[in-house]
Amino acid sequence: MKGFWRIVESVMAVIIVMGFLLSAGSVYISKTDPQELVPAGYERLKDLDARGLLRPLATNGDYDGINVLVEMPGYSHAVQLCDFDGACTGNYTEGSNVAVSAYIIAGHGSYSPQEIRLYMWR
Amino acid sequence: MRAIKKKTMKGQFFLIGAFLILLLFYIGISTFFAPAYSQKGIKGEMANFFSNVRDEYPAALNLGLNSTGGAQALVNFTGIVVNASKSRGATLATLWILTQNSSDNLNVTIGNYMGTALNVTLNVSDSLSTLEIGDGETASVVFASPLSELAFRASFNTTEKNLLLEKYKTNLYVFLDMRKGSDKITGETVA
Repeated sequence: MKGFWRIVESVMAVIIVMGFLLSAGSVYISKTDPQELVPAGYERLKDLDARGLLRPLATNGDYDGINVLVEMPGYSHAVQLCDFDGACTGNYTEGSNVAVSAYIIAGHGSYSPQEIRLYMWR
Repeated sequence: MRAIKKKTMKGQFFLIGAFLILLLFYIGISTFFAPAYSQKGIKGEMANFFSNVRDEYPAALNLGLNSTGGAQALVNFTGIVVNASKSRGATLATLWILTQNSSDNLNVTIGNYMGTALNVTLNVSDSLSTLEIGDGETASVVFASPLSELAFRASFNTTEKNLLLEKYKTNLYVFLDMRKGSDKITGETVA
């Protein structure tokens, strides 16, 4: 029976070590799917709009001003303003790890539709 | 004579059992920590885009009334959001109804972007009118001297919408249907 209990002890030790490594690893080393950030970015832009901050800056072309107001702890971000004729101003970045959230506004004070794009990456 | 001890397989079975326990543990951990966002993410992004478009239609009308004209702004905005949907791999169908007073009459303009020609029946305080509208087109009708507060009913396809409107106020009703793959979202807004 001694051998049996030693095997059980070693198995339990392996389980404990593996469990710790898997759980700790998934917390600190996990790769975030960029698509997970898209809803969060949209909510940030929508929140700025609800607070009356987004449209005045967007219609004035102040993409840096919008970028400053966006809070995404742990992530770098950039804002681009695009009309629907294909012209965009602002900063953007590309890559497989970059998430893009978009928010459409019809204008501010006058009808001038724009798309505000928020790029987020680690 | 020494008794012959039978060799048993206890240790091997314990190792096999331990391996199975480890395997079950690993499967459980993998399932618990595996992100399940890809399908949820697509649906979430589509839902966010849909609500953004739906909520922005009244803004487009209000801003358009100050400049290009309400109906023109709605036509332009519809073209924009339909193309934006396509760039996201989705199909957006929409029908909007705009009412504005013209002297003492009620001017009703309908924009049909449902992907097919439609017959839209309007009932304004028991006064009936049916408009045949091609896809991507608008049509207008005038109802003579309705009441200040009027019962408005619009029927198209299988949709029937009843509203209580004020004649001297600009009113907007928008029906939206967005589809992407097997996902579908429908909604409406009244302003």
